[in-house]
Amino acid sequence: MIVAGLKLTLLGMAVVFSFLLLLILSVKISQRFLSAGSVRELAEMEAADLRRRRRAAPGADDRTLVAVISAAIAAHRARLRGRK
Amino acid sequence: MPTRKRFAGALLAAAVILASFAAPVGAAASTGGTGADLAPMGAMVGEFAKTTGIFGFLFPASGHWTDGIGSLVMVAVGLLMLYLAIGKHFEPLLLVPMGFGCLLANIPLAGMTDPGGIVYYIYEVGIKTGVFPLLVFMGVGAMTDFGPMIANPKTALLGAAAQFGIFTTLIGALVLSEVVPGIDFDLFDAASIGIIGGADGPTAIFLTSQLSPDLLGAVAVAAYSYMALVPIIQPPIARALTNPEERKIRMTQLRYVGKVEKIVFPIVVLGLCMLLLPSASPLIGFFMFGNLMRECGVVERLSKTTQNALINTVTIFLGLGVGSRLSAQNFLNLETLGILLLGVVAFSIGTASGVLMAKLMNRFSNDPINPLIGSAGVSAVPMAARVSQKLGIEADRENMLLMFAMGPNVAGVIGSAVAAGVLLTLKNLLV
Repeated sequence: MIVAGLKLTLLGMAVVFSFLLLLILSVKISQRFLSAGSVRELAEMEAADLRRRRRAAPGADDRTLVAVISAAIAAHRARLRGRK
Repeated sequence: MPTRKRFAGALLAAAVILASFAAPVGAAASTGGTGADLAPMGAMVGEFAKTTGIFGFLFPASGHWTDGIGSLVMVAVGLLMLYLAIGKHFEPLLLVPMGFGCLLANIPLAGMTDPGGIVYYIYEVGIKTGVFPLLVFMGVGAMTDFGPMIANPKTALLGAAAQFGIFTTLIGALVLSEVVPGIDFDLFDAASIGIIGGADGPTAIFLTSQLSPDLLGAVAVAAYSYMALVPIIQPPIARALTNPEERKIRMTQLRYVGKVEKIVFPIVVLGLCMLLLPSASPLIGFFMFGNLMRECGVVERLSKTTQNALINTVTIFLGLGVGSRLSAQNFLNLETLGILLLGVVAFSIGTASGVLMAKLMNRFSNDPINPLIGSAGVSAVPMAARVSQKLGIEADRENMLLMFAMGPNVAGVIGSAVAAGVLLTLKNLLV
């Protein structure tokens, strides 16, 4: 019985390793044909990201922030004055 | 007090109703009675008492009092599983239905696991046929991102090495049955026990349901318990086999993997399975089908259903069905102890061989591999990868290993499915 187990182990590990080795090989082959597409996809994504960031002009956020903060301060002062 | 008066009134009404029931019973008895009539009150109460659970536990139908006690012990096992799931958060998604299934299966006289009982049908329809584990595997496929493995394909070898745990445990089971008198595992049993080392629930349940259904309860309990214990089992082994320098190794950034590559991948894997190992195609096929739905981007509704509603629904019944196999006869024996012991051996050897393989690969490869990601080769997605990440941070606070560990982690799932495929061919290999 134990000998049967050893035989099964040899066969099993050989199959598992060869399956995954072939898988690695096939991934590498498909990478050869398809990685150019991946690079292009990444470049497009980055470009789109950059465009999005540019559209939201760098100063705009600050200006909104300043407006919000001054409004909050004004409200606070008004409340303080009301209490007096 | 009006409430007391009302209570007394209710008692009186109940007594009148009871008396009106008792009177016709007595009358029927005095006239000799027909088959449709009830027995005298005393006999009726006696007969009814025989249909209670207490009687079932004390005087089981088989006549052996040990069976009744056994069922009670199994109820305790079911409660323990519920406690582990609810109190300790051990794989709760499976252990809650499984623990409850165990309770249902051990209710005396209810016959829920006999033909005609609900749990019997759940088991026969979903687990004996292998349908439920495969549907769950499809959901797992829909949740798996193979990107890290495609980006660094050689880490798939770690997923292969970790399957060594399966086969050494198989040998261990055979040795145990030779050495220990009360244990008698045949080759099918040994294969089912070995697959615990695959650290992949659906694969273990599928293989065991096909090869030795009697062990299903014990194998599933061991597989899921040890998967929950991965954060405790793995770190000492990974630490013992590596030195601090190795644990600090930084790996090169993974490249971006595009959509087309991810779509082609499941089809390539299925192609390999088609050519090399058709016996693994139920597992690999459903796994890859789920993954294709995820990656192709045109069936988002199907993909979402598969990875949420469907997998959840099936998990409920899978757990109940597996729990129904937890009967005293199948579970309370020396073999279960053996399975629990072998399960932890399987996980440990799998972890160790993954780490050692990573060290071996480092000798021959220019691209450094942190050996800590080797332990993630024993599937248990994503827990094992998280363990690698945690150990990596322990050695170097800025070394993020999670994404690198996901490569061997998902390769381990394919590896254990392939190993299961080989073990499924056992039926043809026997002479």
